[in-house]
This record gives sequence, C-alpha cells and structure tokens, in this order.
Amino acid sequence: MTDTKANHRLDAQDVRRDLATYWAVHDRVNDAVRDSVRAELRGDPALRPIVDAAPGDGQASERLRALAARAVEDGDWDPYLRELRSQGATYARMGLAFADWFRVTTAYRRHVVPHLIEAYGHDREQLAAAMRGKGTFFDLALQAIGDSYLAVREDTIGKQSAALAELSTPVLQIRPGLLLMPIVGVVDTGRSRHLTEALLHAIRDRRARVVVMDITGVPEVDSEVANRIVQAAEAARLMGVVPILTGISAGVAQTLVALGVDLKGLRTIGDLQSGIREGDRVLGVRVVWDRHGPMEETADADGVDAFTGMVER
Amino acid sequence: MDADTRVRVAEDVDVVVARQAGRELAQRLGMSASLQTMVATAISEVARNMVVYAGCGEIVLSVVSDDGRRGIEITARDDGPGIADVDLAMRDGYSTGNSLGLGLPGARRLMDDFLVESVPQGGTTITMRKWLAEWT
Amino acid sequence: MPVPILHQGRLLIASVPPTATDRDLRELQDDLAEQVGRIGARGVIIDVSVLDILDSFATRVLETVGQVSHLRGATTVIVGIQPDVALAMVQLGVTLDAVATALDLEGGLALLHEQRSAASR
Repeated sequence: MTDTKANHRLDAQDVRRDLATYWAVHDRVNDAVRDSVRAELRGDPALRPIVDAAPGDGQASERLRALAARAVEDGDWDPYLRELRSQGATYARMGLAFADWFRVTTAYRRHVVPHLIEAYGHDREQLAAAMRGKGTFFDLALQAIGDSYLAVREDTIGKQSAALAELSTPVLQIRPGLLLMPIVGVVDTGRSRHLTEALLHAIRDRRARVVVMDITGVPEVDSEVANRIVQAAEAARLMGVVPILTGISAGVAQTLVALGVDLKGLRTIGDLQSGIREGDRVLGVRVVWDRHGPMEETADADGVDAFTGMVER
Repeated sequence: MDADTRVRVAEDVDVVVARQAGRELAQRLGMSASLQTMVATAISEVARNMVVYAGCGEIVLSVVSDDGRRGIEITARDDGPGIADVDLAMRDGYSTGNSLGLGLPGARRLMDDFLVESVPQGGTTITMRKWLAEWT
Repeated sequence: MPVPILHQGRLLIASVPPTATDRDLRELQDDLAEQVGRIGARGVIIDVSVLDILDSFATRVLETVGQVSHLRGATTVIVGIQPDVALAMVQLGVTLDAVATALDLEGGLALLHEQRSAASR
C-alpha cells in the first residue's frame, strides 16, 4: 500500500489539491454520470454486472464513496485502497473480466468531462487541476483492482497446479492387494515427492501388498529420476509391499547400467503385462497359505499355475 | 505469535520433547504431514547427538522468512567437545561412539539448509532450515 | 516407561508408543531378547503404527531385535510404518534389512504363517 501511495504521489500537496478539485465535482454528479455510462454501454450484456456494480449503487459503492471522501479530504488513503482491493478480489472471483473493468472506467472518465467543464470551464487552472485529479483517481482504482485480479489469478493457478499434480499421479487398484501406478511424463523433484506420497497413502488406504510402478511413459530416465523411483520403492517396501518396476525399455536399461544406478534389489520386469502377472504370483502365494494352510506352492486358490501362469481346472 | 521456542536438552526424554515441539511448529506453519515428520526426525537426530556427545545443550525453534517464503529454523547449540573433523562427520557411516553414526548426514538430507559450526573443545552449533513448499 | 509386551502362544507382540524415549527402546530390545529365549518364541511383531517418527536410533533397535531374535529362532516383523514415516526414513537414509515389514498386524501375522510354512517344507 505504501508503494501505491508513493507511485501516485498521494502525499504530495499538489496531487492532493488536484484530487480535491476533481472530487468536489465527482461526488456531486456521480449519479448522473453513472446513468449516462449505463446508457452508452447498455448494448453490451457482458458489461451489465460491472456497470451495475459501478460506484453509486448499493452498500458496497456507498462504502467506497465514503472511504474515498475520507481519503481525499483527510489524506487517509489506506482504508480506501484496502476496500478497492477487497471489492476487486470479489469481482475477480465472480469471474468479471478485467478488460471489461477497463472499458467501464474509460467510459466513466469520458462521461465526467462535460461536468468538469461546466464546473470549472471559466478557470483554466482549476480545470487542469480537476483533469489531473481525475487521472489520479481512476488510475488508483484500476491499479488496485488490477492488483487484486492478479492475486486472485495466482491463487487460482496455485490451486489448479495442486489439483493437476494430484490428477496426474493416479494409483489404480487392479485387484485387492495389487496396485498399479503408471508414471507418465517428467519426474522432477516436486512431482516425485507428490508421486511417492500418493503411492504410500494408497498402499495404506487400499491395504496393498504389491505395487507395480510402470515407467513406460517416462521420457527420460537419468540417475536422478532412477534414484527417486528407487526411493519411492524403498518407502513402499517399508510398508510391507513388494514393489515391481515395469516398462523399462532397452534404451533405459542400458542407460541405467551405464550410469551404475543401484536399484537396491527392486524387482524389474520389461513389460506391464508381465509385471502384473508377477504381482499376481506374489499375491497368489499368500492367498494359498492364508486360506488353506501349507499347500503346494505351484497352485493358488484360483487354480492358476504360479510358474506358467496358465489356468488349471 | 512467532516467538522462538527454546528446549533444553539434557536427557532422553528431552529428545522427544524437542521433536514434538518441532512438529507442532511445523504444523502451525502449515507444513504437510510429511514435511512435519522430516523436521521432527532431523531434530531427533541432532538432539540425540547433543545428549550423547555433549551432555546437554539447547535447541531453538523459530519461524523464518526469506523472499516471500516461510520456513522453520532449528538451531542446536551445545558447549560439548565439538567435532574434530566436520567433513568426516558429515560422511555417511562415520561413527566414533558406541554404535551410532552421528546422524548428521541424515539430518542434512532431511532439511533444505544445513550448517555445522564446531570447534574442538569449543562446542557445536547446528543450524538447519526447512522451507514451506509452494503448491504442494 | 517400559513398552508392554504381549504373549500369544509362541508370539510376542509389542506396540511402541509415540512417547518412547531412547532408553525405553533399549529396554524393549533387552526385554524382547530375554523373552524370545524364555518362551521359545517363533515370531515377534513390533507395532509402530502410532509412532510419528522412526529415526536412526529406533531403526537400529528394530534391526538389532531382528538379528537377535533370528539367532534365537524367531522371525521379527515390523508392522504399521506410516506413509510419512516411511518417506522420512528413506530420506534419512536408513534401511530395515534384517527385519520383515507389513502394513498392519493382520499382514504381519500372515507373513509369519507364510514363513513358517515355507520353513516346514
């Protein structure tokens, strides 16, 4: 707020005098100006909400008017600027476009001029002062509203980024106990943290025992990326899960070997299908022993041969 | 609101107190559960070092800001025997005492900023910071 | 405050509270070593689901329990490591190599049964 005051030199005597000269007329003719602006912009439905919200209507604008008066008369600018920003943020969240604000205030600036001429036409110095004051008055309003639009926009982007990050790290349940996490796109530090957290929470929430992490969709796997994936797998292991890495192309495999990346015993399988079958095998082994006690290790409860993957019936 | 929290660390139970204080501050700052846990774990490591190697010391927790972002700063200060070779101590697997590595390299991995100042027979000061991540 | 240890036949179960100090953990390590021998335990489950952190000391204790129990004929399973604890452990650089892990008590029991069945063949 100090910046705004400094930018427009609101503490300078001449600026304050110009504003006072302008304000004297503005306050008096506000309603009339608003009506003529409305008349001009009536044709454009998009501008209706802004014209209706323009100073002169309702509680919000009355509050603004009172604060503006205090600002011009007493030099107490902070409450007025705060109110401008607050109202600006409201309109931004309502979805009113900033460009439309600009059009409305431009129209307002034009429509107030005849009134200024009528009031000060006989005195060139006073008229010049009023015109300068008008400039300052509307520049201030636009800056405050612009600032709040920017702030709201940044806040929205932040929320959207977070939501997008969540959407882009889905963890899917293939069957009870078996989760699949397809990793697609660039895996940078921020994303890998997010990825790992999503994975670990899914493990806990779905009570997974096997997790297949598929990196078919990861374009570049260097030692950094590989280490992050290994870390995620290590964390999953601490939660009692068997992690399986799939989707390693020949090229990626060669890169990992060349870089000497330590996969720390992470089970790796070329393609996703085989990875899921391996996951089934791991699960199958446990299902047998839970339900039937010690049994031949080649068969699981569904009659699928643990080694060949073929169904026996 | 952002006054420092000071914890005197002289015995086992103080290690628990210090890390819980760290977790609370991190939570108040708005850090996610995983960041809170990282902060608490790093505090546990340095606090334990203090008890084991220096006998006693003090841990100060404060909120810091830099360039628009906010974070938590932990300063662990003791008047103990100091670390003769900080570089060596910061290497994984180093251990002088009874079975525990110094835990310093681990704490450094958990935090964003990490500084060790130590003079043999002149005490040790460890300053570490964790910043609030944006949009995560 | 000593960590309570439950018996269930040949099974020992200990649940570590978040207030446990280094001394409490050391005592737990000693108590478990003694009891494994005394009752001829085949399985030890340590439940850490309410622990908010697992640092280098705690991890070392768990590993030691695993190694000592193994020498005396018992399998140890650590159950209930929470997502952010697992994350911090990996970042810290500690590993649990000497013990098995499971999501929860049920998972831990299943794992113990599985291991016993494998051993008996």
